Parts: sequence; C-alpha cells; structure tokens
Amino acid sequence: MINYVIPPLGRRKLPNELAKLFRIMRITMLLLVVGCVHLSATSMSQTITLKANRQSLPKVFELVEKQTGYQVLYSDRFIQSTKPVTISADRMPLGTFMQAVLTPESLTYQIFENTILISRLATDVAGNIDSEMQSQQRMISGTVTDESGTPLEGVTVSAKGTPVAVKTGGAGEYRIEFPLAGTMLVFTNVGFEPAEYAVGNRSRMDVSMKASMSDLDEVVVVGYGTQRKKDVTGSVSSVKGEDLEKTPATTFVQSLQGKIPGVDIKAASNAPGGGMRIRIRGTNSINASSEPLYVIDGFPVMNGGFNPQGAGNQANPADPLASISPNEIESVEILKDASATAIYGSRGANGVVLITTKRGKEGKAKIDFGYSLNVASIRKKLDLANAEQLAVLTNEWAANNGQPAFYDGVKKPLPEELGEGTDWQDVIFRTAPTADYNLSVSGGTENTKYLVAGSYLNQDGIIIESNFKRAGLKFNLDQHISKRIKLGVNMNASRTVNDAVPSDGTGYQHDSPLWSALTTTPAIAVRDEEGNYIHNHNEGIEKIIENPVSIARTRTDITYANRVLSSAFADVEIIDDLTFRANFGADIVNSKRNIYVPNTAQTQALPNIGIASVGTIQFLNWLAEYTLTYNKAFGSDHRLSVLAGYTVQNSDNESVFSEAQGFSTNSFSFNNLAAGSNPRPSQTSKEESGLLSYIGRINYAYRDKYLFTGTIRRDGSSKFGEDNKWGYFPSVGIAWVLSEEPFLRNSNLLSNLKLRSSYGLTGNQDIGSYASLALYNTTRTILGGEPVIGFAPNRIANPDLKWEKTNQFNVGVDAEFLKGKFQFSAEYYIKNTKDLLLNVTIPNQSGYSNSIQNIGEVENRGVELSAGFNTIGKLKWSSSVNISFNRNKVVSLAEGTERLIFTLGRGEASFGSSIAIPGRPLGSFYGYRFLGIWQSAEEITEAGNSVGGVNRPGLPKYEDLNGDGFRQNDDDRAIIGDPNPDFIFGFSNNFSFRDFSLFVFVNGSYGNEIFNLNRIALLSQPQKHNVLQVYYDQRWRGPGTSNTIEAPLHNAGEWKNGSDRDVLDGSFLRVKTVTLSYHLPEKLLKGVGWLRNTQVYLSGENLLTFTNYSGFDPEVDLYASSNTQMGVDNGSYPASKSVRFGFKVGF
Amino acid sequence: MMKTKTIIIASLVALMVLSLFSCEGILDENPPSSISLSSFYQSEDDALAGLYGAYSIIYNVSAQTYLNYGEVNADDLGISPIVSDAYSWDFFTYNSDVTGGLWSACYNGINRANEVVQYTDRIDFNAEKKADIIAEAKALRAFYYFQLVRTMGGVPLYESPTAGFDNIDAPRATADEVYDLIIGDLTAAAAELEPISPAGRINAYVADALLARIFLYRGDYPNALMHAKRVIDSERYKLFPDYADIFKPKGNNGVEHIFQVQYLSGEINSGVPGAFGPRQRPGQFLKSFWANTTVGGSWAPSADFVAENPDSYRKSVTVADRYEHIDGVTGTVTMEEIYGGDFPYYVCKFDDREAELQSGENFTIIRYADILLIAAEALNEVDPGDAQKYNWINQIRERARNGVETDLPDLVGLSQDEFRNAVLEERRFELAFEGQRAWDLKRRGTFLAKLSAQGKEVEDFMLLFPIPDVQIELNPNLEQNPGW
Repeated sequence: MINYVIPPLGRRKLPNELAKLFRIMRITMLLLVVGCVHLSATSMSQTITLKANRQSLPKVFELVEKQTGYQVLYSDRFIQSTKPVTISADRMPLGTFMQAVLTPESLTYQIFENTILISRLATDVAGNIDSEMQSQQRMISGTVTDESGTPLEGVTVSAKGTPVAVKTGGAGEYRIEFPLAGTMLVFTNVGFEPAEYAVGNRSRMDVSMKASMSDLDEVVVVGYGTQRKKDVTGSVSSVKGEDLEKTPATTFVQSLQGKIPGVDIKAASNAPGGGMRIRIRGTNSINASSEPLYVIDGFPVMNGGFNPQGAGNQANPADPLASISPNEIESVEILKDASATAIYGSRGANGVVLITTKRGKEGKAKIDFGYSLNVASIRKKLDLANAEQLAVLTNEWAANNGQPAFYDGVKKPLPEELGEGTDWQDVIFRTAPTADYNLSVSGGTENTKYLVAGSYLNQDGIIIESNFKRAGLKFNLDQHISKRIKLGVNMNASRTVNDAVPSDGTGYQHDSPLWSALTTTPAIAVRDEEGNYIHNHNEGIEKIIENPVSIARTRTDITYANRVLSSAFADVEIIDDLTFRANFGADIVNSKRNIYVPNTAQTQALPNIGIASVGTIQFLNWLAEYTLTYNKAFGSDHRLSVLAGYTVQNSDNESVFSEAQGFSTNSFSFNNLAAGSNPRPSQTSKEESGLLSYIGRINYAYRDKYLFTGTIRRDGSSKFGEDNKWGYFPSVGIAWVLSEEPFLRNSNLLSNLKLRSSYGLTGNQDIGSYASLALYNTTRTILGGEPVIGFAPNRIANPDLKWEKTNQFNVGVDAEFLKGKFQFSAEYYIKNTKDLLLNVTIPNQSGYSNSIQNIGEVENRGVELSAGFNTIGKLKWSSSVNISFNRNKVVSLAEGTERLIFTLGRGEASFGSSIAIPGRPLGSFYGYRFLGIWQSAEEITEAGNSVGGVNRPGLPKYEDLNGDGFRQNDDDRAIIGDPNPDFIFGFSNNFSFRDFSLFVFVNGSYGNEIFNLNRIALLSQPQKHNVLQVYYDQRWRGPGTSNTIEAPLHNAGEWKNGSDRDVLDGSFLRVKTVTLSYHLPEKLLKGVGWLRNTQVYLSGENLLTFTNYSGFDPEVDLYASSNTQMGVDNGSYPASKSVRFGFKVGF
Repeated sequence: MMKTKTIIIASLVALMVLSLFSCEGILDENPPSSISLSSFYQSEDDALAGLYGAYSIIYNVSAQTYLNYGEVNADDLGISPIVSDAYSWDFFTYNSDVTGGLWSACYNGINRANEVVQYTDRIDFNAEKKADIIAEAKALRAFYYFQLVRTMGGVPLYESPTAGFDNIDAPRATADEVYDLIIGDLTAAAAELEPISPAGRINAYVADALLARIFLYRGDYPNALMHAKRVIDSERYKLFPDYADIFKPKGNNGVEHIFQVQYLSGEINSGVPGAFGPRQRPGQFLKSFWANTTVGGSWAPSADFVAENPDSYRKSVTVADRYEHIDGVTGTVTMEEIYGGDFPYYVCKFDDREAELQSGENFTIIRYADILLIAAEALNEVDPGDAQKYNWINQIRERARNGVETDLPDLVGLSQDEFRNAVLEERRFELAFEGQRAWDLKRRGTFLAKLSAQGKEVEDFMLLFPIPDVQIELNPNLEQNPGW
C-alpha cells in the first residue's frame, strides 16, 4: 500500500484553519476510497502556462494550484530530495505538465475531484507492486531525435495511463518496460510538442519530435537581464547561434546580414577580417558614430580605436568584432526601439547588439568538434582593355596631341603585335582556402556548469599575400556555492593576426595590388628575364604604377591583436524573488601594427627610401555593475519585475607610434627602426573616458494581457561639457495581447496577437574624449637653429557640450496563426535625432576652423515586415522573410551652414562628393550632370561656353546649372544620387527530408546607388594606364561617333569631374548561402555509443548574384564608419564567391 | 542561520565593492597627453611655449604660399610647361576659396599671438622679460595681419584671444585701421625688443625692417627711409660677398639675412627647392635631378624675365637652362632635352640638390639687400638730390656683376623717374622669386598693365584678392571686395 501522509503545515500556508480542516477530512475520505476506485485522469481539461527556472517543486505546485484551482497534496518525504524544476509550458495540458515535472523525480500523480495527489512512481517501490501487474510487462526501445535527426537527450517517455516513465540517454535512446495495459507512449520534452503514439505490436519505436512552433515561451536577452519573449513590449529581434552558423563567416556580423529587419549590414571591405558597416534603423548622426553598441555577455564593449597607426600604407583595419568566433555564440539579440535600448541610455540611440556566448549545460560532458574548409575565388573580374587595345589608345592619344606614336614598330611593337598581353587580374587573384576549426567541451552538474572552447581560423584572401588568422580560447564556469549564491566567470581570449595588403583608394599614395592590377598596362610581363619586377613605367609620361605583385609581396602591413574579455559575477538571492548581482569585467586589447615599405617601392608620391613604422595600442575597458532584481507574481493576475542598478565603466587607450625612413637595406624590415637614416619623432598619447550610470526598469503584466515596461537610465559621461555631464534617458512601452482576450482565446486560427508601442529617449556619446575642452597641441618649430616645442590651442572650449538625443516612437504588431505555423510581424518607427554632435565650421577669423556643437537634426522613419511559416510532413519546409524600409533625411543643420560637403575617394579618382543638406538623405551624392560628349566646337559655343579647357570637342559635356557656361563651378553641381536603399530584404528557407537538409538564404537591397569612382580613373588617360574595355569600344573618335566616353586628349582634367555618369544602380539580389547537410543516421551511430551526432555539409556562398552593377560587387563601401560617405567604390577589396565543406561531430 | 549569514556576507562584499568604484571622479577630464587652458600659462616657459606655438604658423604663410601670392600671381614666374595635371594658381578665374588657406592660417597665428599677449600678462615673472615676450607676440601678430591686409585689404581686427563663441563674427575693419595696428605693434617692438635674437625670431631690427617695407607699401617714404636707415646704421648687417651663397642652407641666418623662416633638413623641410626644381620627364631623365623621387617642380620662369634680365653672374645664379645629372656620369642635361622643345629654363637660385627634397634651406622674408633698395627708393622720393641712393643701389650691382666689369655698371646721374624705374628693375632681378614682385608692381600701379601685356585677362578689381566665399557664408557680416 501507498502511504499518504498529511503534509506538515510548516512550509505550506493555507488560507485559513477551516480550509485545513476540510482538507484533512477530504484526504481521509480519499484514503478510504483510493484502494477500490480506479481513477483515471479524464477530467484534465485544465492547462498550465508556466515558466519555471530552477524552482523548487513545492513552489511549482503552488503555481499549479493557482492556475488550476486544484489542491496539490504531497508528502514532504517524497520531495525532500527533489531537484529544482526548470520547465517552460504554454497552455500545456495539466497531465502532460505534471508528468514532465514528476517523472524525472520518479513521482507520479493522481487526481481526485479538485485534488492532485502526489505519490512515488510504482517502479520505485517495486516490492510493493502487484505481482500480477509485474508479470504482464512488455518492452519497447528506440531513439528520439529532433526534426533534423539530432538525437535528443532527456526526453520523458511515459506509457499513457500507467505511472511508468523513463528518460532518453545521450544518443536519444530509450528502453521502457510497462504493463501490458498501456497502449500509447507519450513523449514530452521542453521546447518540443508533446507526441503520443500507439504502441501496436512494435517492439521498437523511433520518434522524431517537432520543435514547439510557438517561440513565445522563449526567453530573450534584454539589457541587464532576460525576459519572456511574450512579455516584451519593445522591438527586440533574436537570432540563435545555430542560425548564424548556417551562413558561416569570419565575423558574426556578416552572418547577421539579412536576418533581421531594420538592420542594414554591408561589408565595407571584403578583405579577410575586413570591416563592416552596420546601421540599425538608419543613420542618426553626422559626425558622431552611428554604429550600434555591442554588449558581449553583459559587457558593453568599445568597438573601435584599437587599430594602431601605420605609415604609408592603406590596408583596411580588421573589424574588432572579428576577434569573436561565430561558433561561440549562443544568440544575438538586437534591440531596436527606445523601450529596449533606453536601458543603455547615452549609448542606446544607434541600437544595441547583445551577444550571448555559449555556456555549459547540465548533463554528461559533451565534446563538439567542427571543421570547415572554404575555398573562395573572385566573384567577377572587370573587363579591361587588352594590350593591343591599350596600345591603340595610347597611339591615338599621341596623335591627338601632336606626338609621334609610341607603339610604332620601332621603339615598341605595333599594337597588333601585342595581342592580349598580361591579365593582371589573373596575376593577383587566387583561389583562397579558409580553414576553420573549433572544439568545445561542456557539461555540468546541478551546481557546476562549465564550457571550454577553442577555435582557430586561417583565412587567405583572394588577393595574393592577404591573410587573416584568429585563435580563440573561451572558458566559462557557473557554480552554485550555496542555495542562494551563484558565482560565474567568463573568459574570452583571442589573438588575431591580420596580414593585409593595401587596398582602398586609387593611386597617388594609394597604391594597392588591386589598383595596380587594374591600371598596369597588359603590354608588360610580371617579371623580366632576370626575375625583376617590371613596373608600368608608362608610355613616356611621368606616371609610375608599381607592379601589383611587387606591392603585395614586398610591402608589409601586419597587425597583431590580443584581446581578453573576461568577467566574473555573483548572484545572491537575498530573499525569495529578490536577487542581487555584482558583475565585474575587463576588456583588454593589446595590438601592434608593423609596416615596411621597401626602398625598392615605385610609388610616385612617397619617397622611395624605405619606410618602417611600428604602432601599438594598449586598451583597457573595465566595468563594475550592481543590479537588484525583484520578480514576483501576485496571484494569477499580476506579475511584476523590477530592476535597479548602478554601473561604472571606464576606458583607457594608450598609443605609441614610431616611424623611420631612409633604409639602405631592406633586410631589417620594421624590426630595427634605428637603422633608418631619418627617424621621425615618436608619438605617444593617452585617452581616458568614464561613464557612471543608474538604471531602473519595471515590467508589469496583468493577466498576460496588458504589458507595461518602463525604463530609465541616468548617465554621466566624462566626454561632455562641465555643465552637461549628466542626462536622463527614459522610455515606456505598452503591449496588449489580444489573443489572451476571451473573444480570441479559443481561436483556432489565431494563436497569438500582440499590439505594442513604445516611446523613449536615447543618447549618443560616441565622440572622442575631451571634445568640450580647449586643449593645447604641441607644435614643432625651428627657432635658433633647432626644433623647439610650442603649444597651440586647438579649439574653443564648449562647456555646454552635451548628448546627442534620439526620440523614438515605435508601434508594432506580432501575430501567430495555426499554433505558430504562420508568423507575422510588422513595425513602424519614427526616430528623430536632435542636438547632433556636429563638427560645425565656424568663422576662421576666430583662429579656429571648427567646433563640435549640439546643432542639427536628422530623422529616420521606416517600416519593417517579417513573416514565416513551417510545414510538417516528410518534407519539412520552414521559411522566413523580412523586408525593411527606412527613410533618412537631414532636418536641419547649423545656422549659416546650408550644407556640408564631403569628399569621396582616395587618390587618383578622389573626385566624388557627397552632401548633407536639409530635406535630403545623408550621403546623397553631389556632382555634375553628364550630358554626353561635345561633338563640335559650334556645339560648345552655342551652349554659352568658350572652347578650351574642359570644353573641347571629344570631352564630356556637363550640364551648366548656373547659366554662365560650364566652368566647373560649385553652382554647376547638383544632387546626383542616393546611396540609401529603398528597401532591403532577407529570405531564408530550410528544407529537410529524412537525414538531409537544405538551407537557402537570399538577401538583397533595392534602390541604392553606388558612386563608382574607379570608373573616373579607368575611363581616362590611356596614355598613363590601362582603362576599361568599354573605353576602347565607345570612345569618341570624331563627331557622331560616341556620346558616352571621351576621346583620349591631353591635359583635359576631364577625369576630375565626379558626375552622374559614374553613379550606378547598386540594387542586387543574391543567393548568399546554399547549404546541403547530411546527418549520419542513427543506425550507423548505434554501434558507436560514444558518438552523439555527426553532420557533414557542403555550402556555396555568393554563388548567384543578380545585379546591374558593373563594378566588382554591389556590396562595397570605402568608408565603413562614416555617416556621410557611403556607397563608394574606390579600389576596395573585391568580394568573392566560395564553396565550403565542413563537418561537425559530437561525442 | 545559513541564510542570514550569507546575506550579511553578501551585503558586506557588495558595500565594499560599491564604495570601491562609486567615484564620480571618473567624470572629470584630465587629458593625460594634452594641456588645457586652466593648467597652461603658469610660467615664463609656458609663455615662451605659447609664443613658439604662434611662430609655427609662419610655415603656413611663407614658402609656397608666399610665392604663389607674390610671384606666381605676377609676371616673372609661371607654371612649368610640362605640368600635365590641370594644376593652376589662376587667381583670376577662380573665386570661391582661393584665399581660404591664407585667411585661416593668419587668423590662427593671430589668435595664438593674442593668447600670448593676454595670458602672459597674468603670469608673475621678470617684468622686462615679460614685456619682451608680449612685444614679440604683438610683432608676430602684425606680421600675420600684414599678410592679410596686403592681399585682401581691411579684415576683421582681433586684439584679444577668442575665448567663446560670442565675438567670432566681427565685420571687416578698414585697411587703414589694420595698418594702424600693424605699425603700432611693430613700432613698439622696435623700441622694446633686444637688437639680437635667436635665429628666426623677431628682434628690434626685424621690426624696423618690416616697418620699412610696410611704409614703402603705404607710400610713406620718409618713414620707410627712417626705418631702413636704422637697420643700415646699426651696421649689424651687410651683403654676402657671393650672391649665390644667400640662398643655400650653408648661408642660413647669415649676415645679410634679417628675417628668415627656419628650416632644418629632416625636421622641417623646405618645399621651395623642390617647387622650383626642373620637372622631369621619365625615361632617360628619370631621377636625373632628384635621386629618390620622380616628383619635379611646378614652376618655371617667364620668357620675359629671362630675356629682360641683363646677363650677369646674378642671372646665372638665378636661372639655368641645364644641370649636371645627379649620377655624375651622364654629364649635363639640358632643359631643352627634358622639356622637349618647350621653354628651356628653370629657377636654379634655390637648388639644394644634396638634400634631395629634404631641404633645410631657410626661406627669406627680408634681407639687407632689400633694405638697401628700400632706402634708395625712399630717398629718391624724399630727397632726389641726395647721392647716397647711388651708393646703396650700386653696392648691390657690384656684387651682382661679381667682378665682371662689363656687366651691370654702376648707376650714375639718373633723373628721379629714371632712378625710380632703375630701383624697381633692380628689385626685380636682385629679389627675383623671393615673393616681392607682385607687391612691387601693385604698389607702383603697373601690375595690371604688366599682366595684360602678357596676355592675361585682368581687371582693376583684381589688385585685391577676394575674401574667401566660405568665410562670408559663415559670417554674413563680412563684405566681399568689389568685383569678386
């Protein structure tokens, strides 16, 4: 017999004594009837909605009582040694819920009227079980996997109608013995839909469980804590690590591309480890940064300023976030609206990216190993003139300028003898492998969880000699030292080595292998007979282009960065529901950049005497943070969560830079600056900044129907004027869950419908330190025959300098249909940024040229839509699509400043401009309007110009906008393009069939324009360097021959005019990733007990791109961080396409 | 029990760490690698450092800038015929912002000097030294104002440093008001300062020399003569025996130099030798002039200058049609070969080939020969009968002919007008390409005629340069010069 014991009353609070009496009476009754009445769980129409995280069993029972109205009875003896319960249930049938909670503890339950009785599971007390029952057992075994075939551990398998239940092991295997009477097996697991199968005559049953369609119970990371997705009132998008892994990349930011509405991500440089441009809901600032705040495991990191100075080279710095291996990421949350970001106050205006790295989970030690090999090659080459064509053009130029032909068959061969010549693009591009290894070991017990992971990446760039390496080591540990105290440590260490080749910019101090390859004449070979590099020593005109191979192989630009991000925290549950957390961390970056340009360099504008430099950065960013969280449900109607906290963060950046020139030998490279005959003065500097903050947040939910979030942050920043160091950043968010209303509650069609809205104020403080102070810079003057150091003021002090402020209004709707089969979400926002931290030009008669002031206003408004669906069946297909529209405009600038003009481009083709002017989007291109080619002198004079200079037959005809003839006046320029897209989109698809799955990811951008400055140089001066094929085909050769491309004429200066001829449509649609993966089937694994899962995959990246853009790639941006210079193609490292093979093994 | 203990310990730890970090001090900014105003101007050394800071602007207004306004803008110097880029210093078609660089550099220097003037006064140190530093800063301020006023006419006047955003949009003062300040400051400096100073700094005679030049510009010949004579009578200065030595680094801060902008090879290099050096075509002439670079000069002398300059040692030092190949083997390279039939001369006066483009050659603002010529010109106006003027000008001609008696004979028995023209021609060839030409033409009223004769389209208003358009946009109180 089973003994029922009246629970001792010490810990259970009963409503009153009367209730106690009733209960005792009822139990007595029950005890009397239990032996003879068979009770089945027939009346379990009640459902449970509950999320418990390490709750004690009695507490769970208490919640069950509240939700169902049942009373739960149990013996303290039974639950004395039970483990805390972690479960997430949404309208889970009571029976399923109780089973899930109790079975692991070998307990079971029975229901009588309004009472749930808890008892020990029969098998636990085998001796007491009826021998007849025991004799008629049957046995079934099998494995349980998820839809993709990955074995599931810890699934509860129970025989319906019996108290028997078991859990699956590490390979998903189970074996259950149960009484013959049982006919159904029930499989339950957190995060999966419960499944019931009839047993029939089978002795083996393999089951594939379907993930819960509803992701509403998921917990999302929000600033300083987590929240149920269901409770979120703000705009928070979440991407799981496994989804990031589907589009593998060097940095996780690249993997985020196209996944989240409202987040525009573009590769600024496609160099290995190269930088990204990321904008969340548009660009807010003009001079301050518009990059989001990155928070890694609760630590807000600085993402910039780590790249040491270098001499004479232009290699693009590596992205600091490249120091984190994407494999180590558990999830990325993007906070977009004010309700979500205001908790980050003065750093929240540009959005916040929360990165949560993987941690150990309870269970047996798991070892996971992954490897992939990616082979990349150039996606597209440019069509350049060949040797013969260029020679023809050179001769034509000579003829047009009264000079004898260069390719005359005497000094140089005749054009027709030259043929194709050298394809310099083939010379510098290569097929480049990237190997990626990662290994992690994780596991834990109830009290201790750990994860140790290592990773190594070795990436070759598609331009010869470029390479990026990263080695990472990660460790974290969570330890309960007592019931109420938990400690944890995190450590992320990485070392990156970026061996870069110069890129970006076009000639004139911006020599790069790419640019030299595009411009060097195909008429010469790579090396002469003696093996020396042949340079483009032109055709008699003073222009030297260094051999691209020589640039790549003989110049050095290598940056080492060591980064350690570590933190430790303690959680103390002071009283029930009230937790104190202290968190301390430090982000330490040490980096060194070495540069050497040998004295054999052939660059035109640098002295070719050997230039060496070393630069270092030592960066320290520390954080101390204290938060108090109170979580409490009051009855079933009210849930309240309150957070209060205090944080201090401080950063220190020290830099050293040394340079020497004049090396008689190249053998020292950068390792002996003293060997240079011309040492430059060393430079050192230090910059500090501090942030003190108080934070507060209240979440309140009434019956899960009406949700409210209020946040406030008070930030004090060292960066601002004495009178304006402190600022308040409040926000409110409300949501109404219509689907919880009675009229929708039982809808079969609509399973969730939520309306939400928020409004709040966030700030931006991303400017350098000391911007409000008048400081003195050192000057160097020769007086009395020697250098003397002087001091000179650098700006007017601005004690009023304060935060850039962004007001954001957001309204959104989330809907789920058919139990999550279809999902839909839409948002609309208006973001208004005022008091811009604008670098204002002031009258120079003040002795200063500019000053950072709080002037100007920028607005972004937009719509974001996303939708998804899942199908089930043999062929499973899940798909999600998102599309976002953002409209940016400058509302106002400083008084007296009608507009701001920014130069685009570096080097030879740096003749583009962009403009910031009220009413138009930031980054708008500004320049001349190309009308065609002047066909005759008459045409020129008729248009009101004098013949000569830029207006000659055969030269481009530009529109004369100010009516005084085209004289390259500023008034002749107009807005000629917009780099901001009309919309961007992403579309991902998952197909799975048996053990195969196929992932297809498409993304794109529509309506953005690109200023292709490369064309400015590549459509001119064939006497100096190579040009595009189209130049040869379409050049003007006399009246009526061409209206698109000019004739080769001398000294025209025509190529210095940035015009709309070079503003091109940058829209594209790209099949970014296609991945086919195969999970080794269970049968094969069964024999090998230690193998948990195995997956092999093959993927292609960037294999298919639809675009009209004629440059290398429409995803291009010379300026990764500028807010006003965007969409510029200027000698950028080109994009690649690649094929990847990889596998993952779990032990 | 356990629970209470835990709470107590946790609270204690929390309090400890809280108190450890809750310091509002981190919001105070104390830039470790710069000084702010509150911590600067505390000592004599600080005052000197401020003064040095004000001097550093002199590089921005001298050398190429100085020559663009004073020479390229006149008749004797032009753009090298084979400069292929559309580079030009064509003041007469470009309005927008041609003077922007000079404007901001001068005001930057003026503000720095004003800081020295104002803040040095507050420091407690030797009164005599203090007065010297203040007087020197004012003289430097005058030098910067002079660059502005002669280029653009009256400009806004600031005698105290910019401390806030209140008075940064002052309107233009008249040219006379600006000259009054300049003359007042320099006159005070001439009285206050020591007669000698470290090279490159303004002393009493530098102030006198500048005053002599300024009064000459103003047509105030008695004062010009008075200040020039003070320099001459001091007997501190005399002519170099060899004209060629004046411009070479070895002659830096020599006995003839009154005020030079200082360069030091490898520290602060002068771009002047490079700008005048021959423009090289590549191929066989590549690296025939500079060994380590292919960059060549931008400027070439005008045909008029070469034709009208009487043959003399001085001319041969000034322009050349050939040079020795730097490899020492090839021999002489002629400009005819290099320029391929275009105009075959380059300005060789400032050659500093040994230093390549890292020249430490000083840039001369004013030298003794100029003072002698100012004295001669002024005396001719004040007292045409005084024969002393021949003595002054003939000293210069004597050195220029370098012992060749047939060249440049001594001047004698000229009418006042003949002498006036003779002095101007002497200035043209003696001070060639030193930045005086355009100003000499303008002050004598022959600028427009000379340039028209060379086929340039000039109009009356072009005697003054425009105020930078951008500055007018920023400060609507500024009025543009007529015509622009």
